[in-house]
Amino acid sequence: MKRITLYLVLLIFFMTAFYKNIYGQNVYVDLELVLAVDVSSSVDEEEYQLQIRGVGAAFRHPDIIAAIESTGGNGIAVAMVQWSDNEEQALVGGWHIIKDAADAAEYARIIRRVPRIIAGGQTSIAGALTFAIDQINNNNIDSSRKVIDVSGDGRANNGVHPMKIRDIALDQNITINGLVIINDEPFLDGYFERGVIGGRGSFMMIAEDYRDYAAMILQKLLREIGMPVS
Amino acid sequence: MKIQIHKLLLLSCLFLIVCFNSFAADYPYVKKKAEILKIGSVEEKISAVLELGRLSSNANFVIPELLYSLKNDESHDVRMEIIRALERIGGQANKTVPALIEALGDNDWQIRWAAAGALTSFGKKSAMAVPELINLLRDKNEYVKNAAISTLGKMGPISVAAMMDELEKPVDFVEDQLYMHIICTRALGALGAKAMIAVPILVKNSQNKNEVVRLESVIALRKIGGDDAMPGEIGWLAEPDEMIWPKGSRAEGNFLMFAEAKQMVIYTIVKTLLSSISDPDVKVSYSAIKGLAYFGNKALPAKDQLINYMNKGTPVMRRVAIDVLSNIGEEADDIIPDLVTALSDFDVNVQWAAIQALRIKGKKAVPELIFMLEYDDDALTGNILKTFAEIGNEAKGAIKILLVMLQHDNAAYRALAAEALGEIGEPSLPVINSLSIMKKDSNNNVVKSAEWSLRELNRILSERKNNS
Repeated sequence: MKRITLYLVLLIFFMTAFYKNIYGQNVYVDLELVLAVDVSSSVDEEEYQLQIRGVGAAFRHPDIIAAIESTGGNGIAVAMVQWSDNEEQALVGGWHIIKDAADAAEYARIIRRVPRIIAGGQTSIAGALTFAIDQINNNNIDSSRKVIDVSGDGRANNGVHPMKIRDIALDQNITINGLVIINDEPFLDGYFERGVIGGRGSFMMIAEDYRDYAAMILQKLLREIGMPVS
Repeated sequence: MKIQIHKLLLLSCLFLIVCFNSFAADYPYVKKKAEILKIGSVEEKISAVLELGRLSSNANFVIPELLYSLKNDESHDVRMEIIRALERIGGQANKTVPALIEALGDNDWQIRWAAAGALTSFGKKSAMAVPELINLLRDKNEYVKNAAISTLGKMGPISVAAMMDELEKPVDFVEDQLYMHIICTRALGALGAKAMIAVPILVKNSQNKNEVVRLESVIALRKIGGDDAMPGEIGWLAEPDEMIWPKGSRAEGNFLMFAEAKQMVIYTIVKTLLSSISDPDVKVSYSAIKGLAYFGNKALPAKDQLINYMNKGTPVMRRVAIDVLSNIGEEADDIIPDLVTALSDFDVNVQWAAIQALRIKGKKAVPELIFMLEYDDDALTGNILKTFAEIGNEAKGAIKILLVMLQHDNAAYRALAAEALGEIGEPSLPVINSLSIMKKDSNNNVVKSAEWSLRELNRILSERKNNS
């Protein structure tokens, strides 16, 4: 009886190991990208729609598809995170691997329909970055380039200073780029430049208001994914 | 019985917490901490100051000791912690604010920076610091400047007058006056409705010789007028027909409810923006057009100019002109054919603006879109199909032609037509049958699009079943 139990334990052990080997193996992509979208109280419904429709439109653009197809053949992994205060972050729509126009169109459809999970709240950029880092570290995806693309219209007024979490991201080779909407805070770009963005090839873009969001996110994604050499 | 024991324990804990706090904030205890400032090591002093800050208003009576050390202690770290503690304690403003003002002139930039930030805790009581904070905007250190402008911004109306004074000075008044103009104008814009009293000077500056001053003024005016957060009532507004104020407005009986006042201010701002559209500087003109998007149908007088920009302007001008026109409402419904034409613009951002403008028009845009789709123009077809998807259910008049488009030679159009049918969300038998056939299409994109739409339509059918 003891021997049978031992065999059973061994069998379960090997089956678990086999399962992990097959299904737990990480997928390799050329870029992991988190789009961290501000949904704090300063962002109204119209501004939220301008953001998600802008992202959706960008993933339909032929230049974005060409950029994805030219990254190295493995495609890119994209996820959208909604964030507000230190306790409020949500991964919306999950991680998606985009390799071609069909994948990109599918992602655009998902994003266009994505509901606003977080109704509002204060602004914790550190909370958003912590959550985004966590998503990158636990997505079963590997890549040589990891980018958090954080957009926002205000300084942090909740949680620790984003600089602290930015440094943690940099230690893990994660680049943080910024899309700053200066509609409410005219000097926000300086704050993002000093305290939020960082890492290899990091950059920041400025949108005067949410009406410029679609145009800016398109340019930004092209730069992040890497414009194709034509 | 168990519940009663729990209650008893909870009450005991609360009692102990209250006792502990009373003890912690006890006069001798606080005084002892303050004594350390005179005799302790740097570490001991920092620890004591941190504790005093934690005690918040309970440490109010040792503020004089803290202020003495702020002025005389040799350690930078101790002085920094004292400023932070004063910010947390937030009391004795008549003594603390002057001390912080003095710290604004300190040689150590971090002290100036911390003091500028700490003044936010004192609200209106820090009004006497406004002139020094304005001076600090000229500081060599960027952090100090940012802290000063941030504090001025948080002060609200009490800092507006000081910033307006800076705007009254000509740009060649002193070497960095142009910079002061920019920073103060931006801060006024950021204050939104709270800076409404600055509208006259901003209107005046929108005609300034310097194009940067004009540009910043136009942007600030848009932000002030576009701010929805309104205080209750104002008493400074002049007679309804008088466009420049305040004067004689504080007379009794001259009070207007803010809603009326706001309308008048908006009228002035829109008038200024309309005039600035013709500014010789393209950036000013662009910002004036962009600003009009925040004022809905009040931009109607500029309709013809906007159509002109939509057709002949630079790509960014075309984009913002479309944006403004789409916000005018019914009075600009006659621009729908122009918007459909803009779908074939060579600039992708203009195309997107047109799609969004047509989405706002909704059902009314559908006939024109169908009409143009029949031309099967390569420059238009893809974006017309995207527009139907964006319009959603209101585009159900297009279902018939979308079913025809499912047979198009171009796979991208078939995919977009399939997607639009899903977004329109009418799960009729012809739609479901046609989409089911598309699942066997040779193009992967079309298949995925059809599958997605079928999922959407099935979801709608299930919801309808559940509801009935």
